[in-house]
Amino acid sequence: MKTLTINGSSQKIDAPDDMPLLWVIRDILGLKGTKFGCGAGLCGACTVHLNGTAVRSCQTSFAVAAGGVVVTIEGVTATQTGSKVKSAWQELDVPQCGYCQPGQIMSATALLAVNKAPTDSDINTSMAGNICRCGTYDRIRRAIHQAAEN
Amino acid sequence: MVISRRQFLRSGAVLGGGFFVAVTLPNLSIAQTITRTGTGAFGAGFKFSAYLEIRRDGDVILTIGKSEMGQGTLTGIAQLVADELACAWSQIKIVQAKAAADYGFPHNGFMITGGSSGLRTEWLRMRKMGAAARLMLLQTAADKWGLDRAILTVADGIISAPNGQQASFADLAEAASKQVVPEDPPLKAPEQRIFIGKAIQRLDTEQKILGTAEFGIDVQVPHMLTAIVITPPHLLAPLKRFDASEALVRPGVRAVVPISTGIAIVGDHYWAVHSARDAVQIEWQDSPFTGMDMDQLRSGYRDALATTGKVAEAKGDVDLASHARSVVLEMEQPYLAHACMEPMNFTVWVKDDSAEVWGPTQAQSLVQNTVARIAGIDPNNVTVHTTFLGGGFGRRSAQDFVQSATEIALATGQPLKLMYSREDDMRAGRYRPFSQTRAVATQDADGNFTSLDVKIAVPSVSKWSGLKFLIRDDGVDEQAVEGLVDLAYEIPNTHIEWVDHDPKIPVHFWRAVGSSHNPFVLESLIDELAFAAAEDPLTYRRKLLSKQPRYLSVLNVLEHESDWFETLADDKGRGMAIVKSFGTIVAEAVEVRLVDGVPVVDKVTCVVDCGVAVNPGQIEAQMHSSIVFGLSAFLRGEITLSNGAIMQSNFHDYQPLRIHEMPQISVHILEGDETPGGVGEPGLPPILPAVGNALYALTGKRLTRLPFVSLV
Repeated sequence: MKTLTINGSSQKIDAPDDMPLLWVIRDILGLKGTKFGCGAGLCGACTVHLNGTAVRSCQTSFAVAAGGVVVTIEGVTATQTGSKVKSAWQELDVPQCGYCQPGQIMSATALLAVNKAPTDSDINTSMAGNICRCGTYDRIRRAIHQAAEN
Repeated sequence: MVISRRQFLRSGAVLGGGFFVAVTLPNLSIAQTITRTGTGAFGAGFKFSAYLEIRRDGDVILTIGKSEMGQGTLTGIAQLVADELACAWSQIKIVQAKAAADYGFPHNGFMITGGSSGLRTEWLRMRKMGAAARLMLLQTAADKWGLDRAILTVADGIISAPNGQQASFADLAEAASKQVVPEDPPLKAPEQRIFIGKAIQRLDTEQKILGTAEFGIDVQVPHMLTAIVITPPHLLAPLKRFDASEALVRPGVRAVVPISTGIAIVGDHYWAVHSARDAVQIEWQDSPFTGMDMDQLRSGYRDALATTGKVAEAKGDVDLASHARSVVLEMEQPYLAHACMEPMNFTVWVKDDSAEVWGPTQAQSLVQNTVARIAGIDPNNVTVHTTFLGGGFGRRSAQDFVQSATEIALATGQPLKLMYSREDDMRAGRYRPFSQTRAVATQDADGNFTSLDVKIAVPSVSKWSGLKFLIRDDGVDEQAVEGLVDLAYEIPNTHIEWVDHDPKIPVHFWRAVGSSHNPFVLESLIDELAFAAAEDPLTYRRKLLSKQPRYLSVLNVLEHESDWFETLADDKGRGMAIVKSFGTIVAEAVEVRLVDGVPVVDKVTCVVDCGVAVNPGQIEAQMHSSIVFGLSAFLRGEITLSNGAIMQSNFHDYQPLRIHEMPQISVHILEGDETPGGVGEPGLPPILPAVGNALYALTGKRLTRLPFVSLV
């Protein structure tokens, strides 16, 4: 049994050491907001915050995450930065199918936590790991700028 | 907001009972099942009760049967109803409909979402329904107050009389349900519209931001097991033998069962079954595709092009047309994967005489048939719950994953969620077909376009999909030739022929279908003709479209907004294309550079004529979406085979566009009054030839093969 603090709540979890954090979150904790897209760290859909940094949870083993602090999409909008991102995402009507959006929002929030006024180039670099097949990239970029301005 | 069926039922509503629901529970009003028979505005057997419910607490519940895959159909259709009904937008709550003929196309009751058809097939019916309901509510108020209905006004769900009396829809709903339903209510004039034409925010945005929107992959039902299927690396190789003993002892693995497409590992959750793949020892027989590689595939297509196909269109006589100048293009376009962000999945529970299924499907009617056929039950006893779709692009109307899930569910006797890994999704897919096309266009000495002679070798997606109504009586699959026939260009002689060449690699609809590949050929050809006649490509098209005012308007806006005739920097090329598909005309102009020999698209100007623009914000979003999807295909999209095995497996070797590759896109929507055309797909067909044409303008080299490899 190992402990994870997930969205502010400490949980004792029984899972194999090599089980990816993504599946611990989705299938043991039952939090479905974090999405599975590729299982190979290529698409960003599974992005969560571990100990303050954005990570791809499909590439993070339970053993590595254990004892740490995890924030998922279910918890991030309660933070100040997360709340600004949520408002900007809402105002600009960013999501289309919405499947990649939790991962996009987690990456965006992590960017804004360390860079209060990112340029287009900063955004492109930080967000390049998050694929959107619906192509809502333009609104993602504008929403990040808007969240930064507020 | 879009509420789930479970939430809705928990809140106490009884569904399907009537226009206004039975007074057996609090907050609800008296039922009347309103069934229309005969034709009239709504069509035979249309049930209000299936679609619209006005509750005493003020909620206006709309049950909509279109699959939401990002194209905004739920919000768009809600706008149609609300516009005529004149409720407040905040009253609207959407419920995703279960499968039923009530939610099928008005003309045939078939329930499917595709072909950019949702809003435009519901354009009339949904507005008529809203108008009828509004009139019934108005009449109720008029009766109640002893006033003439004509002097009452309605706004935001409140009916007002000149003397200051007011009543809300909620107040009136119960009594209104007893009114006679107007047979054919008049609709508003365009200037009276409230919600149609506005860039209203989507009703599903908040859930998708919070992560609470339920996709197929998120479905959880009690006693559910999860499965993955190991499919043969060489396509469709039958199973020889397998040994599951090592896999069965792994924690969380419950069973290993062979099904028609491979070996299913069934267990408690995805990781338990996915991580057990290597523990199953499998021997496959020879695949029917053993030895097939791209050279062999190509030569099969070349041979097919030398045969006689079915004539899809023949105007005048191409042999007699003036051939003063002739342009020939032989083009090849690849298999493409859909690569939806949400991998394929489906949840099936087979019971005694019925089944209940959940998941991200585009084709509810087909799902009922598939499950019924495999389980040996009546299709009407298959309850289909549709979730949000993490992308569709046509892939999710296929039945392969539904079939597999049903087979496994039958074997286990419990609710069963089948999940695909990304590798499964990429390799055990249904692809946009590979095609080869030979196109010959001729001009007379004055540069007039005299004939178009095209032969295309491509398999029939309609046959593969089971949607036979898409095949013409003469046997021509419309999907194979769309974008080559019924052209608006003035061409006196045409001969369009289709060779149904089928290498048997599974194929299916892919965004824009035949219009995903045919316009690349045609619009490249038009540019070749323009250059042959020493004319600017946009000017040349104007001449060919001189009798088509809507096309001319689109070209005018394109010229203006793209600065078409302005001088461009030496390192940039400019190209354009104009295509009508799914009832909508889209023209795109692009500016492209070459960086280390690879095209970089800097700017796209997109002009849309879709008739009435129901939600300009969503139209813009869909244009962006289609352009990005098309550019991904142009630059890097290709599914290839080697010795009968598909080469690509994940996003490292099938690479969609990422945010840093996003061009600057401006979308210009023309105002129109005509019946709306679709918007989910029409932005895609022009982008591929526009980039090809831009590269030609820059380099003088014509791309005849996609994806882009090099300009040699």
